Amino acid sequence: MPNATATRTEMTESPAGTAATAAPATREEGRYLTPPVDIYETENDLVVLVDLPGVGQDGVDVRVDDGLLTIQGRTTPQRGDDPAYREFGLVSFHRQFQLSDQVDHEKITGELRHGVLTVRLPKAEKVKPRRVQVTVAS
Amino acid sequence: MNGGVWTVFEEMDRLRRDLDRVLGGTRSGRGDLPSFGVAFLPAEAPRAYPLVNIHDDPERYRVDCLAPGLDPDAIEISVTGSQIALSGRKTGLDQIPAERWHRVERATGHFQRTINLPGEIDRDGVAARYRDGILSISVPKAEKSRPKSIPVTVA
Repeated sequence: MPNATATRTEMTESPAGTAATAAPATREEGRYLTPPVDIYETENDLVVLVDLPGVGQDGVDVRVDDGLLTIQGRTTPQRGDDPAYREFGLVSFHRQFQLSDQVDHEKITGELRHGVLTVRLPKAEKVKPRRVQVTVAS
Repeated sequence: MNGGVWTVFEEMDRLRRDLDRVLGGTRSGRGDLPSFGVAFLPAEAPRAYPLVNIHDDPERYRVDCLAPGLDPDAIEISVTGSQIALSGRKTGLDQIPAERWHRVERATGHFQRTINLPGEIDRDGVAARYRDGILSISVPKAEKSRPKSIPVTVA
């Protein structure tokens, strides 16, 4: 396991209380669900997987503002959406994470596929594991 | 009413049963609220997954399933009588070694669900589409289950 000792780049969820200054500006009126996420780490990235069922390419919004990652997904009401039997309703999604400076904020990318958003947060150069070349003196 | 004594436990039990009925106790027999993303939690009885909405149009039923992140090729749909059976698997971080996980909240695992439709269906016309994490199954009704409009003649 060559990378077992790699720095664990921690990412913390923006707590509701302390984000009070940021939240009103970034969240619009309406009903929102907190989508479930998986976060894992590779050698070069932190990867965030977000379940956003019903959100299309037009409805997804990922932004970074002053170290705060905001993931927003807007579902579009479907034509004639009045089911005879209902177990779920499509509502919009909203979740925020506080990024550490160990993530390169400029190079974040996102991809939406089958209702799952994948956000890749590349680690900053300084926290990537670096192998030091050792020369043997003769 | 027990000679005017307030039987609080009976009342609570009745309230629970009323709530179960209102919330649709058919769901895994427990009357759970459909809560998002909590299927497959350890130590919980299996819950219905995926959650479905059923539309009853004159010509067809449409079953919408809330199932993000599936491989469309791995979704099995079969029709028996007027019953639709769904099964498949949602993969999570299986390929990622556990020491690299930071958070695991998304529901994953195998699922299986059967949906009984109220009328006879045309099994050859069933079609399914997977888009934005929602599986939409279109099930045409059999000729005799479709509503027939009766003209009214004036005598």
